[in-house]
Amino acid sequence: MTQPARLRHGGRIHRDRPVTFSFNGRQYPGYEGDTLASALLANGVHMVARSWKYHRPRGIVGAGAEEPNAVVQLGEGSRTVPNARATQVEIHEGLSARSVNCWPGLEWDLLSLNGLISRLLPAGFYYKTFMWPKSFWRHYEHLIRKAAGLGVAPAERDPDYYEKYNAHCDVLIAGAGPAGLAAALAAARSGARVIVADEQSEPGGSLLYAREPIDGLPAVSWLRRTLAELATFPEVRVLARSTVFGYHDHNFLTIAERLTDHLPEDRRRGPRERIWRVRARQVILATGACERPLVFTNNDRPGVMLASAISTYTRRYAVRAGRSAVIFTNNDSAYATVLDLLDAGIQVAAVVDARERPQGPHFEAARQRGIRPMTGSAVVDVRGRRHVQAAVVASLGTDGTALRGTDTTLIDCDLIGVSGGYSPIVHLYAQSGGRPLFDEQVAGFVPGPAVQPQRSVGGCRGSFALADSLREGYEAGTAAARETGHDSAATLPPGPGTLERHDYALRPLWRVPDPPGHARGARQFLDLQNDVSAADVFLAAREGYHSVEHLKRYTALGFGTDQGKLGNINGLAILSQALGQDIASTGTTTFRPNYTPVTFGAIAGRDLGDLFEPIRLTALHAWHLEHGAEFENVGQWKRPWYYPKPGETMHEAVRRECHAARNGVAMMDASTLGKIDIQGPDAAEFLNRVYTNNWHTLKIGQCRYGLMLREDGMVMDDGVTSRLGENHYLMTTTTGGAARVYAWLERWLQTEWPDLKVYLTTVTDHWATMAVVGPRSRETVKSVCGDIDFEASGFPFMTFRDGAVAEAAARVARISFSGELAYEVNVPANYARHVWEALMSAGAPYGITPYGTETMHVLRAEKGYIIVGQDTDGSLTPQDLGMEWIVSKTKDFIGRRSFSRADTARPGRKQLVGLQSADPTLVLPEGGQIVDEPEWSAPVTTTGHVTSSYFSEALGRSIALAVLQGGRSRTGQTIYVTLGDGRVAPATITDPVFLDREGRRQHG
Amino acid sequence: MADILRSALHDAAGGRLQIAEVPGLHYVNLRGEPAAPNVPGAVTDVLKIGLPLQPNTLGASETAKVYWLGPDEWLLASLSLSAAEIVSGLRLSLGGVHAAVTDLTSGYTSIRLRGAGCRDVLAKGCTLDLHPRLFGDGQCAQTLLARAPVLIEPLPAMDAYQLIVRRSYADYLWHWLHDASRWAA
Repeated sequence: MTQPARLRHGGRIHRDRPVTFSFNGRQYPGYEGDTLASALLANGVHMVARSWKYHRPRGIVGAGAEEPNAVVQLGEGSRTVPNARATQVEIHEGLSARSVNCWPGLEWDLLSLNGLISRLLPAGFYYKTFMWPKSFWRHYEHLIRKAAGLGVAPAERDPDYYEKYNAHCDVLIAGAGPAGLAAALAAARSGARVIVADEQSEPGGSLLYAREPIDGLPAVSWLRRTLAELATFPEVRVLARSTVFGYHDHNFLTIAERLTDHLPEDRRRGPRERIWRVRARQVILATGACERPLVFTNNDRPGVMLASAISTYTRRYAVRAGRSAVIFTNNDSAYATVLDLLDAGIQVAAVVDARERPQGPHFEAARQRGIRPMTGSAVVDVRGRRHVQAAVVASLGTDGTALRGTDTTLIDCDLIGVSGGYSPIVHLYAQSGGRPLFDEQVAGFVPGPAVQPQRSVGGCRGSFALADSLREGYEAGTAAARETGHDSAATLPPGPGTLERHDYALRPLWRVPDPPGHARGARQFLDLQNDVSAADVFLAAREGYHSVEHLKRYTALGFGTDQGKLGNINGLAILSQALGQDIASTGTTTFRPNYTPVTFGAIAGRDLGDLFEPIRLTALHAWHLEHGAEFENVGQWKRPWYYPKPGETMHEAVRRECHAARNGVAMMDASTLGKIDIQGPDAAEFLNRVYTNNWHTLKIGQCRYGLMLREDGMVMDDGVTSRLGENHYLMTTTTGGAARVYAWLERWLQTEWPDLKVYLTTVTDHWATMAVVGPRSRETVKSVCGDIDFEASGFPFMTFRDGAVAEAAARVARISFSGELAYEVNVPANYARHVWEALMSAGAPYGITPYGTETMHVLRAEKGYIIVGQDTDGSLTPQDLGMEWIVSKTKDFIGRRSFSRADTARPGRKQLVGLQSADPTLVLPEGGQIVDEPEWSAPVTTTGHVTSSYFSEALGRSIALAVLQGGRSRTGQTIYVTLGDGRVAPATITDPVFLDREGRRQHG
Repeated sequence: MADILRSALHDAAGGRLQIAEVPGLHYVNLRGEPAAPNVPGAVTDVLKIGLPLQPNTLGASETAKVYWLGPDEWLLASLSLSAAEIVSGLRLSLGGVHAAVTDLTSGYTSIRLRGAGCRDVLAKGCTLDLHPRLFGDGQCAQTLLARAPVLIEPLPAMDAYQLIVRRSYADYLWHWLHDASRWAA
């Protein structure tokens, strides 16, 4: 296969490595080193899209991130990439791409009808047309979305691996063009840690197609030498295919590195993309500049391209973008393109220069080669629908806002290169918090003062000449390194002495006058991706959208995947003209991350699946797994939920576990409870202040339940604390509350009570806790523990004893969260598995049954024990919970003073009650809202809700806990729980304690 | 301590990245006022190590280390003395001084990363600058690795890092490390 528009020589493509790729279903040849855009052009394919609104044919315009038209969907299935810019996609064997915006097809497009009725689709047409009738919006929206095209996200699970990397450096340089590389060289030679990131497939930027020599070498030779030198510094990283997409506070920048997308799938190894999270001491922005198009009628026709893009395709990719070119410029830089075309043997049909008196070094060089531009002139219109066939040229009036007469000249051509000057790429500077300033000389926005340790150099600060870029880069690299303590003055590289600074001598031309007989600004496109024309800007200005942010949202100028990199400045300038103000007063829209789109895969990185959140495991986790446990997430912990036997449902398993706990013996892993070791002479006083009850009376060897409140008097945590020694206590907290309680206690000690001599230490992970529960628990524990007296008289409820359980040093406590006779066996976690298995063997004669959190919930609910965070929600006091018995009236504690607040003290607050549904088999839904009458219709006042609800094996019926306004005074009444499907279930209000109200079992 | 040891397969491993648990260490937490009499002395008495007072540093002997955790908190890790011996020894030396000595031997474990790319693996989940210019011998840091709280200690002589992690996070961290080192070096 031949590539009809491939030049015979030159370029940085690998002619020895041919590649076949497909575009819109057709196969094409290309070379490794090509972008999709350069390869398409080499095959003579210009038209790559239909425009968003009018579905006009669109071609490749640029050669980089700014490309608005050549937006493609890559690949198929799970690896498909939407909205890639063909100008940045490297081709590889097997690459397949299709246009995203050409439904139903590129060649034959139903919707180009829109172009004929374009006056019905002006700016703001959504708001004006589709808002009526209101109920029709959802139909319109569906059609508009389909017509609007843009890519499709993959529906399958992403098969690739993405990662993040935290990096630190002295100097981060964004952009590896001449300015960035000069900065890198200077900083590297000083010994500084340097990262250089460049978004292209290879570093070099404009050097990859520059005409000027540096240090007497061709630019690409200087580039090769520079990269070779940088590679010798171990503290320098040069990242290619890496876009600095975000500049955040504290010199924190984010880079997306694309590692494998340029390779055929069978050669991809390792991560697909990597997000670099860089904390840089100094930042150098060397992001270059983007050439601006000129705004003239039908400037969107395929074949109209940026002059610099033509140079890039010609010199870097050896591609002839056309056979016969018209170059239209208002400055000197496009004459470099003229020279490139001449060098490549491409005919230059005309050079149309808006300036009356062209000047500049490139112009001089072109003139020596016989180029005679049409001065004071402009391309005012384009002939040809699907491709440029001719340029219509006319003379400009003196001030450029009108034509001189009505005469036009038709020049046949198939390529129009335009240059309206350069816009510095100030995105990162603006993201850093800076405000770009309008510079008349540059005719664009340049960085203002730095607001972070940052410098802009080269094109992105409006210095477009190669000599300036290099000099600024050297200076900034040296200065930035010096700021970080690395002085490179002695080794400063030689400057590019042979290059003269020159002006690019621009005549601002924001909008070419309309050709005779045309409406003002019609089909003079600013934003090619969103089909915004100069006429739309005029309309917006007329309708009062004077703020540039309003203009953007009304016309969609600057939206889309390209974020208006090409057309924004022209749009601002035209708005300014329409409003009769200068461009500086109009200002820019806000530049936000990301500079170019970043995939969700890269943003997620490895924070997926089992790595999304830590999975905390107890020392007994493996045993639980081996014994078939189902797990429940409690905070970050995995806790056994229940242990189904083969064929058992959850309900059956829980009933079996409950039965064992109430009638034999059962055991639960309670290791996840938070545990805080408290030591110091003021420990008892400290507990007295953070808990509602009295702690001075607790004797060594005793345990006591405590309720912890916030300052507002609401319950925040609960647990049992044991007194281990004279000045030594061990507090337990809820599983989910451990970290919060520890921080809370430290805060009070450090900030409010520094006089208290108390030290806290988290010991949650050190201890494994096994709750041995049931009437046969005594026999079970006793049989593996010979040195503790288990007689009830010698080892009463709410005390603990130290001893050896299965030879491991243990603390055994008589604590019960089930209302049964129960022992809590605590051993260092390294011994947990051994002790657990010994207890399982010891309990085997009594049918010991492991149980999980679900059974724990049933058992405690039968006893009316609350779970903080389930039965409470931060709005309940101890009194609301019926726990006045634990609130001391004789001492102060956190939260006490809030009891006298009017709202805390008022009658009618929600109170904890029990509920028994009329149907004993019905387990009321947790969260179910309570209404007082069976017949109701929304809106209705609810008086409470169900907080816990289970089927009680012991009682043979369902039970529930609820919070209900004035609930305790309503015992015996019937309320109605809404079921969520419109029905209600009647239930009787009861005491929250359903079983063994006297507590005989646990004291046994 | 372990820094001077060379295992049988050290050379055979050829510097490739290795991840291994370092079991068998005894951990004791100490809280006390460094200015209080006996607090630094107790540590020196028992472990023959000066109490590190500079933030994020550690003191080491051949068989034990003392990590600074906060202005009044240290973690003691020992290969030879048991936690019970350390706890009773410290309490004896501390006398009546207000301090807290707590055995945490079962509450921690250590994981060692050694060989090519170990710093890069950590950089995937740790936001601290681990460059040897800033983080070397005698230093330690408490931070998050991925989402697990860890204490990181560089062992530059071994081209290694040691991570001390709470027991309940160890399995998560182990899997995270293996995942992060999948494409290392």
